[in-house]
Amino acid sequence: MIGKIPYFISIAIMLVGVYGIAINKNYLKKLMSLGIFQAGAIIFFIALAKVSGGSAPIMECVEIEKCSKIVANPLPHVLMLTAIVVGVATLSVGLALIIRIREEYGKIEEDEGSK
Amino acid sequence: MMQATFMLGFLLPILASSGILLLGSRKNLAYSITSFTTIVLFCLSCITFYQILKHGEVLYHFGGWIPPIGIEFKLSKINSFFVLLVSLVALLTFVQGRKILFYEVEAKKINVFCAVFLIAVVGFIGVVLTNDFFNLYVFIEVSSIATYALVAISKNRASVRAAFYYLIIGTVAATFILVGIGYIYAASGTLNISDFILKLPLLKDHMSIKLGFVLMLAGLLVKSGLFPLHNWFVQSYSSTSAFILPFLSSTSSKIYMFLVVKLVFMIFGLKFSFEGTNISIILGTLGVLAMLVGAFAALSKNNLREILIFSSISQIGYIFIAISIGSKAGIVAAIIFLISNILAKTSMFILSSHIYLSRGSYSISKLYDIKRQIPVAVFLFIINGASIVGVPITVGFVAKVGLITSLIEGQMWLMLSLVLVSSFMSLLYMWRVVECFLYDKRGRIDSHERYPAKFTLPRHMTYLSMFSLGKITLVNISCSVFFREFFDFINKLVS
Repeated sequence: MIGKIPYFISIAIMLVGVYGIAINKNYLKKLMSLGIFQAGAIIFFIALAKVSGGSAPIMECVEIEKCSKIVANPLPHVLMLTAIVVGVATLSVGLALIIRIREEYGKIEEDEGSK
Repeated sequence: MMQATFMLGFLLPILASSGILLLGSRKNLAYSITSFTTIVLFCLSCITFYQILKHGEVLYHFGGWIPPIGIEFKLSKINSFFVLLVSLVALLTFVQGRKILFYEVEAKKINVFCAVFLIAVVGFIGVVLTNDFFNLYVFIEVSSIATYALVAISKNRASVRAAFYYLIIGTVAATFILVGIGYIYAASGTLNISDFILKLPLLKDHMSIKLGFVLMLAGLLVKSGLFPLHNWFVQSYSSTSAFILPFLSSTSSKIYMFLVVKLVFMIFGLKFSFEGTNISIILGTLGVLAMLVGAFAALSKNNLREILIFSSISQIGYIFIAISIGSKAGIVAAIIFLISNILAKTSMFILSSHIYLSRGSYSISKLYDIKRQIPVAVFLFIINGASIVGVPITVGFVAKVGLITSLIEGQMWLMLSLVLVSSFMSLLYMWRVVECFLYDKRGRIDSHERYPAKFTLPRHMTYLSMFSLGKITLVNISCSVFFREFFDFINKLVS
């Protein structure tokens, strides 16, 4: 049961993000909620990598097959490095768009009743 | 040798786009480099497709790492055919001519525009070709981020806000796909798609696999703009620049629909996707709603661009109906529909922007009697419109025949009747547009006033563009004349 807690936390974080995206009228806050949403997905992947009793995946012998050390799965971590980079790119495009929206409309809030 | 040819083509747009950015804001140079790149890319993808038809599929391993560990590209017949379509659309978009690009986009942003465009092309080609789940996610994000930027680079200020909404909804959808991939990886321990297909029979009843499938499907439905999730599609496409619209409408949502086909048919298989699940009912219902809502909305609009956008939404509905039948005939019909749609809609959006430039308005009430001004463009527009409606001697007819026969095989009579109703409605909205083009319903006025002298065809539409659109239309017609051969060809691609 305790092993499942990280998964529940990741889903909870994702839900917080979705709620924030839906509720906030301010574009900057919407973007921050999007960041929180993506963080939930990242925590999900990191939780997948956990191997009970495993330590950092640094091998001390040359031939990997002969190593007896129990290590965490490094692949999800590597994937999440890429996902973080992608997330940063998305957020920076979003911020650039917010600057343009402010130039064009003079505010970064959603209009009441329109989209 | 062939692998090297193709990978060169894949690298070329990346190199060209960084080159454009390094050269600074020289708009003519940027335009020339981009056009040259799209032409070379098109030739390369033609060669690759021909080679693969002749010698069978090719797997390319990046860095020489063998698949379960390394990332691979799969150049199968159907994948390389869709690469051909993407590069064709990119080519058609850029041969529209520099005048319309310079008219639609601010001068100092043209080099950025060209660079982002090439990145988007690479992204879509990567999405089609990759044979690795996580790589798929990365390419989806690469193409999407480039698309958000392309939507925002426009003189219309509404486009910035539309691009922001598109970014939010697109990223949420992509994150759903990412979490879906996580579930699939957790259950199968592999990210390579071929490897996963081998492992699937043992894992069929695993809850994680089912959850992963549903999450990926949900993300792709948002990305392809199926009915209740089509708002970003309407907003961003109705406000973006006319130059990029043909490219966006024919790649962005269409490629994600191809991914849906790939997911349900080639990766998970029809048995897993449709037996004992409600996927068929859900996709079918949403497809019917999209088809009818799109057609009604298209009938009620007076703006040429909005009519075409809602017609696209209606066509997305047809494609999902074809997928929801859950038989191989349905999948073939869906792919033919995709092809006919890409050919017809690209041409129609290009022609509509020329029609717009020759009258200065999209409102169809102002486009009366435009056939005298630009007869060839109107002629091509009508043929492509006929393809959307599904009139015989166009590829749209072949697509509709495929859809209807597979509906009859599946004995889905209600859906069949709704498809026929919606086809009739598409005839109505296309006729409304064509009627305005052909007849002058306003009564006669001074001919000097009717055709403003500064808007004439050669200024805005290059002969090259006209020629290539004519050729596409010819392909369109010949596909239906040789429709048995065309059917066999698609069947061969799918198997």
